[in-house]
Amino acid sequence: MERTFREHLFLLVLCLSVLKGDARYIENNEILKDDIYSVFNLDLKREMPEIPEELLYRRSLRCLDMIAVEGQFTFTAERPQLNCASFFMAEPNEVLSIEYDSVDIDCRGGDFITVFDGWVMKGEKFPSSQDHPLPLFERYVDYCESGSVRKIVRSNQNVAMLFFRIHNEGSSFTVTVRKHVNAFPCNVISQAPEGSYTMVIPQQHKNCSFSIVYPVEIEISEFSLGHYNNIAKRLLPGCAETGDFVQLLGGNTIDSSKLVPVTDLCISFTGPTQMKIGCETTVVRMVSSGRFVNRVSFSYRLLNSQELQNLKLNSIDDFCSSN
Amino acid sequence: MRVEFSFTVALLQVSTVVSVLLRRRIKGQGMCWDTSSFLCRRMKSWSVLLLLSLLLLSPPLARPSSSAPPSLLSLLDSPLALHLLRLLDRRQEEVEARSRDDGGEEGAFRGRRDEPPPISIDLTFHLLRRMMHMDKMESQREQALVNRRIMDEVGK
Repeated sequence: MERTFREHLFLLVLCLSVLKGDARYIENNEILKDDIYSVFNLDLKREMPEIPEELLYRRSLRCLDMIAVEGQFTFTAERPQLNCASFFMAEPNEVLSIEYDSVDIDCRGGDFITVFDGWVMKGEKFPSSQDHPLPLFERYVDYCESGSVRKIVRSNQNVAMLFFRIHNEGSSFTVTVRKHVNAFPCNVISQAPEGSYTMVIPQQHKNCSFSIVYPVEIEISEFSLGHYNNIAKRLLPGCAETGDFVQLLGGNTIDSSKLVPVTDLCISFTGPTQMKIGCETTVVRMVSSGRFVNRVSFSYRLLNSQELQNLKLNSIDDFCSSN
Repeated sequence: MRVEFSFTVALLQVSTVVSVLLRRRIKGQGMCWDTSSFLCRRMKSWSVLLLLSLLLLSPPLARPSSSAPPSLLSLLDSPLALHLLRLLDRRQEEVEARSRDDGGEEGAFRGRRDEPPPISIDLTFHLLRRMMHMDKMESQREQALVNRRIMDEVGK
């Protein structure tokens, strides 16, 4: 056979065998449900599967309620209820979604159901307007205005609220609350007065706050602002000029923009530093310019009454005592 | 003198053409001089100042010396020209700042108009903490029940 004819023949045989599929292939079996292109999918893979309907937790919703579990909650008005609110909470690394399942209210009669992205108490909101991505009017989602279009409302942090007003006896509504994993939580309210947490802002230009609605002692164990490890840079006039720093704030409101800064930290260090803040709310807030990966690890514990009293006795002014 | 006069006329013609071209660039503005939109105001100020600067910088008709007409570059170097350019920049900044403020105010006003009355609840921290504590106990109980149901399902 001529050489060129043999080469052509071999090429033909190769092409035919490839087309026939005798080459190795990836078997799509029952175990690996996703196909090979799922590696290009950016969705989180570790999210827990949804709880099946039959195992979904159900209970009735109260006019004033606090809910920290997934489930289905039904409110039925036994009498006109004009000022009701439900607080929803999740773990720090979770966000909430609230879905309207069945709603039987009289919107034209003045009834409303409104989801708020965050918590609002006495007109003050968490997260503050500075720390939340949406303007205030977009954080209120009213069912009567947009419920038919927007049946699921998702929060940007681990807390959300539901406000509702029902005039007519017998009117009711049902909401399903689910939790979703949040890979980089930004604004968090702690569920407990004790615990530990590490806040990470990965090269994003935003401000994040961790709020504890108790008087606590905070111990910061590690704090890293990118490559700011040089002590010599400490001679800056103030932390605000650096663009990346951590604030400890205290006060009597959940709005972190109205709290009093107790101290600023803008030099990386390892090793604990402790501070007792005897306020109704204690907040660890990180301001990030977006140039670095910033991280702060801290733990907190509830102050007992004796410690609170000592703080108040030792303080000069009326501000939530700190030392 | 004839040269100086023709030079001035040429400058005026250039400035007129430039202003007309600027007007035509802004589509749909119609009679721009009568509207109060931001673009029209800016363009209007540009045109007026350009005309003014060219008129002031053009060689005076009654110049006694009969030297050659000054070149355009040397005109721009003159202190008067620099001052006028600075004035133009400042005026443009003011116009832009005003338009930004208007836009911002309009935006805020629009937000205030559309914004629902901020719904809130008067709750003390003490009550909030009590609710959180009670809910934590309830959620632990419910989680135990759910776990038991899941284990029963798995065991079947």
